[in-house]
Amino acid sequence: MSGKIPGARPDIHASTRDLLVTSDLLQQAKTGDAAALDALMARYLPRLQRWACGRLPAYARSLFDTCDLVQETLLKTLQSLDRIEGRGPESFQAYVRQAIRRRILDQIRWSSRRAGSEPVSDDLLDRGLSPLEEIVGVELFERYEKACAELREEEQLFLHLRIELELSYEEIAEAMNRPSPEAARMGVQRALRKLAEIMGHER
Amino acid sequence: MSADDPLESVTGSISDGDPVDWTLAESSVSQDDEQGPLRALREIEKVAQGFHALQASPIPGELEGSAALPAERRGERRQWGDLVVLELARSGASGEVWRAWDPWLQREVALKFLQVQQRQESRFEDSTLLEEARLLARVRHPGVVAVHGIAEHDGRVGMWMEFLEGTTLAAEIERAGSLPAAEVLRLGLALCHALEAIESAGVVHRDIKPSNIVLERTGRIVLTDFGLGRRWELADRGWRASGTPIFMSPGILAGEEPTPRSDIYALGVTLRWALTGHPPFAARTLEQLKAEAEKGPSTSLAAERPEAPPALVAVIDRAMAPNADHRYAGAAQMASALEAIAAGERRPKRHMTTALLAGAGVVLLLFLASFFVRRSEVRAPESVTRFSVSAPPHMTLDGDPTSAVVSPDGLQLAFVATDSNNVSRLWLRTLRSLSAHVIEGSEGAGAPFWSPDSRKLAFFANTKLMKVSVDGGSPEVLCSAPDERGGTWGRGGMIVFAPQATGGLMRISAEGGSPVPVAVPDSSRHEIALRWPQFLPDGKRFSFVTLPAREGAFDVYVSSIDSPARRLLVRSEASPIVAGKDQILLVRDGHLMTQRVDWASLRLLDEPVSRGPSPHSDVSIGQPLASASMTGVLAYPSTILDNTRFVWLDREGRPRGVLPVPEGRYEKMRFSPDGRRLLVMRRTSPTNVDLALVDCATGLETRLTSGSQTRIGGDPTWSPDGRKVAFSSNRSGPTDIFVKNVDDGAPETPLYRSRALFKEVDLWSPDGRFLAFEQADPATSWDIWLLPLTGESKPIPYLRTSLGEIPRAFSPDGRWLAYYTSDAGYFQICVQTFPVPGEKHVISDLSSQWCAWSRDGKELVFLTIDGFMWAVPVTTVPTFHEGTPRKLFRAPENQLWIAPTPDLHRFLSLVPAGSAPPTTITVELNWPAENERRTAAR
Repeated sequence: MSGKIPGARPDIHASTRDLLVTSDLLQQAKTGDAAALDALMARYLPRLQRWACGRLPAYARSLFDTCDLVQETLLKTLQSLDRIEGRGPESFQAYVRQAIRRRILDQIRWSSRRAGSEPVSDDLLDRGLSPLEEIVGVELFERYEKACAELREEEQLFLHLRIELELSYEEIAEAMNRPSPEAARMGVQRALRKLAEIMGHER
Repeated sequence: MSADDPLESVTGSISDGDPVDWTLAESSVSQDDEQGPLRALREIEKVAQGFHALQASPIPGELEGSAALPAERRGERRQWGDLVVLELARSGASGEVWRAWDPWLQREVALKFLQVQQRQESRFEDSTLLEEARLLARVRHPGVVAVHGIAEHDGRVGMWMEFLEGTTLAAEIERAGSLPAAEVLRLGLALCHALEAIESAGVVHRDIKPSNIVLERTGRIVLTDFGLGRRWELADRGWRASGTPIFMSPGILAGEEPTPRSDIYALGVTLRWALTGHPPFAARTLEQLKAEAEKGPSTSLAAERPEAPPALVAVIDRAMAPNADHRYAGAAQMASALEAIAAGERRPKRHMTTALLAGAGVVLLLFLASFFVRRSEVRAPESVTRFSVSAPPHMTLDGDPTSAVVSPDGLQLAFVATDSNNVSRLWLRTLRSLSAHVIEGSEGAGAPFWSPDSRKLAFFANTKLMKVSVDGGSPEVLCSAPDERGGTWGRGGMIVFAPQATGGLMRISAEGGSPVPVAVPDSSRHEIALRWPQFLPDGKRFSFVTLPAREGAFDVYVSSIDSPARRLLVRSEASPIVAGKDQILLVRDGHLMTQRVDWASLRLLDEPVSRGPSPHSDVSIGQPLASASMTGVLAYPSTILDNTRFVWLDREGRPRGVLPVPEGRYEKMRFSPDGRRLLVMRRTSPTNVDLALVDCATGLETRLTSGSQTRIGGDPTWSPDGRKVAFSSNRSGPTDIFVKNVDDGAPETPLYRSRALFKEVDLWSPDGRFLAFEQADPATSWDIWLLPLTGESKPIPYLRTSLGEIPRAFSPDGRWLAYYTSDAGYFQICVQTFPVPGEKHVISDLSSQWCAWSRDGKELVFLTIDGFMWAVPVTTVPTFHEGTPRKLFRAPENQLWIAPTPDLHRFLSLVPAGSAPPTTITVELNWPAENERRTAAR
């Protein structure tokens, strides 16, 4: 499990603990093993926080909001593992992703309310771009998101884990119940190809 | 690239994070139905890069990547470089701003982390952040937020600037509804003047809006948040959507490049908003905004605010003219228009003739005021930008001020850093870049200096003078330099250097050859050494310091490679620094001073200006305390002396507790012959060091010396009976030799004084008859001398060769002396008969400079330069014989000094207490500005 395949993205937070099997950790966590919960938190929290920060526009994002948002969501997910009883680690990943997306939307709505009514469209006063939107552009990011939504849940998850969270193929294989890193790579490539076809033909 | 399916190859590369050869991919795709997906893949790659930048960045609020929660939440303070981070002030799209404390400036600062910039830097090789900071630093105006510095610490790039206390104009408009015309006029004038300064610096602000304008409680109006690098980066890549559209001129909305006139437009929108309390356009989409901006506001300002002075309305309308050509050409023009309104408001209504005359007077006064204001703005010095350079990962910086040198063009910094094996190497950092790279083959490097074209470096390593090109290649040996004291590289490829601690200066061509003397000590002036040469801007003449110092300062002369004649330039407590075409940096009374100098006549001009306490304390050896470019860049190591602690080690190197001593900075120590007391050297202030005794059982400390000295040379030593100590002190200039009884409280008495600069006691012979000391000699480097303690106290040489030798340990029977020598080109431990040097044994082939002899005479221990402690069994009777050395342990990496108990059963290791931050190199850009400011303030 520890070998890196050629061309893999650098694993920024690689550590021994990162290489433990998520399913095992989940099983241990379900039995109330605090260390396993901590390990799961340590595994996903930094990446998810970065991912979430990239999606929140500035006005909805403050230092503690973002960290709290992700941490709170992940903790809640881990605390309610029974609800995803019997399903594999990919379900856990998908569940967390959806939960955080929901929390991001809540956060944006809440921040909008907090800001009060504006006489002029927010788009013109402060575009409220998220860091990702600043980097890739609003229009492109929206098209990417829209096309992603047309993919099957499994394909979305492949892209989420690889492109958005930059997990290694080993980690993705383990999370998505694939027999090998190469199989995970194939899954990511297929999802990418399908995404490109959706985006390429929508124009 | 797969010939069968080019799209598969591209998806593979994107998935793997590899670069895609788009030219090849596009040429490989032939079918029309593949063109769309290929274009989409190019876009997906961009999205993937965005996510990658996100994952490569720190979590907002996390100053250290691995922390789960910001320390501030736990009520802790965090250090970022020299700054103490206090609390988050605000978080925005371009980054976060923290309130922080700058101990250098002794005030609060705003510390901004440019997250987006940082992410982009992780993808784009050339950083613009430093360039941006320089650009901002050029804008020196009270109406523009002042930038203090930029640096990288803990993997985060941050820029710190003045901390503004007040509210934003946006908040004020929100609070008040709208502002009175007089206030808008004042606002407009202040912002125009700020914009004038920005324009003068060649900068376009690009984001003028109420939320970027701070109204300080003092009434000061400050323009903030340039975000230049970010927007230029974005603009360069066609992402012009970033910004605040409602303040964008029609030209910007149409995709044109920002200009000063687009800043004028944004200022017009801002002033109109302040006057009316609402934005000038009702558009709710970008397309609607473009259309409205092209036509101008649907409601005239005059109609909305009929009570406002028509002239003010006209100025705002003109600033907001859709056609850029109809706007003011620049902020100065707009400022003039506003000044005229302000003058009109101030002008009293009088009789026409009087009014005309008075008006003319006001205009004249305004003109003169304006003239002086502009003159003062033009002459206003640009601000200093100061930042820190940290050691490369896993390296430490040498605090020696000669270990960091900025290139003459001010664009590069060369510095010495040491790894965990105590091996120093030369590193090079381009100031544009955020990282440094090592110069291969520079092991053992010290005292580097630059060629005048900033393309090559010379340095000293392992008793050799070497050179290397910064463009690559291996260092080349030029000649021998056994104990160097600085070098300089002039025009025409001539290098002048001091090969020894004592003696004169040599010159050698940078292309090679044999060194020849270029300046020698003047014996009539009792000089023993010439050091730290430095070429003047003409590249022919050079300055140097002469030793010994007289009355605490060195005579600094100027000589030439063409003539041995020399002329006194100045007196200074350290080698002066040639710092530009007419500037010199000196040290006087412990303060760094700058002074203008006419290099042609070698006359100092004006009065010296103090820049505060000199960055280093020990100026007893004349070395320069900083390095300066010819372009206003200054660099010097910043070291905060750490407290120390004594850690007991057993013979396996395992920590065995701590010797409790009063908190402080200890520098050396030696056990008494009975092992019960410790003689310690303790630095009591940056400019004073003292000796003290520590009772090993209780940790109680008793101060021993009562003099005032910056340096206690050598290794203070005990008499064999443990009742006296001998030491060298520079309290009266040269390091003379003193002796003191340890128990009767009587003052120390001088044993031996002479003009020789360095006479450094290391050992007391076991029979009590001699002190062994090291003395520097112009002809023979460091020699071992013996000072008889009976009869006539006239020193006699023990070893006086062309090599350096330092005494280290006597055998307990007093028949052998262990010392280290540079005989082999590196330092090795030798043992030789005593008191007459005869039979000689080399103990260590490894470079080592420290050793001790066990009380029973059966073992020698020595410490090699890679940090390992070795033990070698020895016999001294009937003759000396050494066994096979055995490695004992590796000393702590950060060890400062070590002392064994007399039986060599335990070792006391002196290590930093860890309370001080590691050494960094402080770089000041545009340092003469501070000089001008201080001059102006006097």
